[in-house]
Formats: sequence, C-alpha cells, structure tokens
Amino acid sequence: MQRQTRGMDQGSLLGLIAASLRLPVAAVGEASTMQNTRRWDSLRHVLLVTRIEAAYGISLTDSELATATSVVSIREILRDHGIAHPGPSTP
Amino acid sequence: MSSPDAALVNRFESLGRGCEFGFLQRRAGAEPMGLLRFASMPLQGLIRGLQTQFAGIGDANSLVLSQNDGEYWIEVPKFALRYHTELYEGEITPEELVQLERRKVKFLAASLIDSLKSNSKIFVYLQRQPVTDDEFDAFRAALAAYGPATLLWVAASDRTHPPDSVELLDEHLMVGYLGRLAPRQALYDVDYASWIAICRRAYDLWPAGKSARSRDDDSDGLVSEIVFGTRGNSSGYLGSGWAPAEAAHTWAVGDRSQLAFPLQDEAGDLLLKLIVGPFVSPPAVPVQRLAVLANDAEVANFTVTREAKLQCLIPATDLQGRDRVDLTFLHPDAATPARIVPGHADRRNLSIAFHRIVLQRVGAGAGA
Repeated sequence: MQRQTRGMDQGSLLGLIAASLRLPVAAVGEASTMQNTRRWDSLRHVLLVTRIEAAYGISLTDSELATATSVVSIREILRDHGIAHPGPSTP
Repeated sequence: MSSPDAALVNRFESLGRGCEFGFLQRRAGAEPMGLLRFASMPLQGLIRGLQTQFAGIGDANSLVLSQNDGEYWIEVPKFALRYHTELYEGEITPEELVQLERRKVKFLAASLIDSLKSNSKIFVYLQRQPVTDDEFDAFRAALAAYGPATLLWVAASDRTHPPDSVELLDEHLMVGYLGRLAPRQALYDVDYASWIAICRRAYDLWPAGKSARSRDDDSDGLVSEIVFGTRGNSSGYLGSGWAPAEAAHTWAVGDRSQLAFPLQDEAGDLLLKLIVGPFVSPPAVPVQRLAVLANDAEVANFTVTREAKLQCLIPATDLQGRDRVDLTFLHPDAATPARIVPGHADRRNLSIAFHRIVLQRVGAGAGA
C-alpha cells in the first residue's frame, strides 16, 4: 500500500479499517471495536495494524498492537504518534 | 458492548484444549485475542511451549501453510499448534498470510507469557480426553515456572462432582465441573449456563482476585442476600423493571426497577452492597447513572462504567416502623443495544445488570 501523508483526512481511517476487514465503510463507525465488529479477528487485527503502520509511516509496539482494538483507541494511538487529524469522521 | 458475562469471561484465557472456551467467550459477547483461543494443540505441545516460552514461534520457517477445501491452515510443528485462518485462496497471497501470521503468533505468545507472569487472568484448560498423572504434573510444573499463574482445570461432571461446582485445590489450581461438554463436531454448542456458573465461582474463589478486591465481610451481620440469575434466589424479591433472569445476572430495564427485602427486627443502620455491571457502549452510552432509594428516600447516587461493587448506608431513620425495605433503582441512561451497536439484535432497554445484593447490619464487620 502506498504511504499516505501524516494528518490523513478524517474519514480515511474508517475506510482503511473497513478495507482491512473487508467490510463496507458503512459497517465501521466511531463506536466500532473488536468486540462488536464482524470479521475483526486476531489475524485481521494484525493486518489492520500493518496497514495503519504503512499508511501513517509509523511502527506500533506490541503494547499498542494489543490496545488498538477500537476506532477510539486507534485514534488515540495515532495522536500519540503525532498524527495531526485523527478526529472523528462524523459531522 | 460491555455485558457482565463478557466482562467475566474476559478474565479468563484458554490454554486449550480445543475451541470450546473461545466459543463460550464469543457467545458471552467477548472477543479477546488469545494464542490458543481457537487452536488445536495437544497437552504435550502446550507443555513444550510453556517450558520454552514459545521460543521461536514467529521465526522464519516456523510456520507451515496448508489448505483444506480452499481454506488456509497454519501449523507450527515445533509445538504441534494448528489452526484455521478463515481465509481462502484468492483472498490473500500465501506470502502475505505467512508474514501476518508470524507477527500474530509472536505477539499472542508474548501476551500469553505476560499474562502468566502477572497472574492477571485465570487460565482455563478443558480436559476432553484422559491425561496421565505425569502429563498433569509436567503441565503444572511448566505453569509454576511463571510464578503465580492460576489454572482452572475443567472436566465433565460426574456422580461425585455435580455440574457447576468448582473446587479450590490449592492457591494455583481450581477444578470446575461442567454440565456437559460441547459435541466434538459442534464445539460452538457450549453449555452456557454451566460455563458461566463455573467462571463466576472460580473468579470468586481466585486468590489473586480476592486479594485484588477489597476485603469482603459479606457474611458478618447479614440481614439478607439476593443472588441474581437463573440459579439464584432473586425471583421472590423482585418487583417491576427487570428482564428475565440470565445465567448469572438479571438486567434492570427501563428507567426504574424495584425490589423489597423483609426486615425481621429493628435493624439499626444497614449497609447495602450491590455487585453490578453496566450496559455501556462508548461513545453513545459511556456510563450508567444509578440512584438508590430506600423506602422512597434517596440514599446514594453512582456513576457506573464497569463491573463494580457499590455500597451505601441506609439510615435507621428510613427504616423505623417498617417490616421491609423497599428499594427503588433509578437508571436514566438505559439504552437499546440494537440501536447503538451495529449488528446487535438485543432490543431490550438495558441499564444495569445485577449479580448480587447484600444487606448487612452496620458494626458487625460490615465496614467499608
């Protein structure tokens, strides 16, 4: 996957998550978590994290990999890595 | 969604054998990641893995990819570990799959080792076939090398071990007896109520959990105790505002629920303890507020975000001349999971799940 710029636009993260989980974008929202999202299993979780790393040009630790199990926590991790606009995509 | 059963089963991690406990967690609404949650590994392989801390599990050439009816399977021969990927030919290249699986198993093995060392979970092993004393001793020795790890060994109930019972054999070993094992060809068909009852009892018995929880003197000065769930005693106490009992809890539904305790004599001040879990699903439902009224007088207000033991005082002045305590719970944040959680089917208006309520006389070891 081509690396995207830091400060990726707000909706793209949800699109990236949906694509990694092979779900329609509408199936992923701000409240999505590993617990409530179909197909978000451990393998696709690693795939998702790998794609986030490639998209944002960052590397996640095992601890971050373990906690990046919701859209909210992924946004927090991106903020910790200095990603400028990981805010919600909803109006 | 956070449910009491999900919170409970998240405190356990499967060491095998098979996927039955993983399916139990799924049915309870929990989807924790775990190296052995949906994997096949004989006890000998598990012992070898524990003894070596799964050394080399994610190394190059450590994984073997195969196919069965188009689905990719992964095998780690060193530990006789084998599992589905639920990915099929054409969905992903074999090279990318192996790369991801290498990172996954390495990460999950490290997580398992961290949990073993920290004793932060109870580790479950389901006995599906005979195990020799030597194998069992080797398994326990391998676990003991991590320090305080606690094992819940689960077996089918029999004439001398009733279903749902749990025995604490020593500080690091519990044995639970299941009503029935899931059929081998349908491991998802778990005995849910029995599993939940075992997990609840094991968690209550767990020495590490006990020491982490505040000291519990529930039996001192006991006036009354309500245990919720299908196997509890709550039905005779409940008024309006409750859903039908589930395995180990009962949901308070809507914005108000009521129950009543009988009082045998002048009780003085009473301490009310509530063991509860909220329905929360951030950001839409981040908390559940709970107000407690005793005989129509408000005695407490709580904001609940996770399973909790709450307590408050009911002054004797609110009890004078009464032969019972009428408790009213106000929970204005009740919400419907089906409207909040994508794909969720539950259309009840859920607020707080109650596990247990204890009423004690103050001054009889019932301190906060």
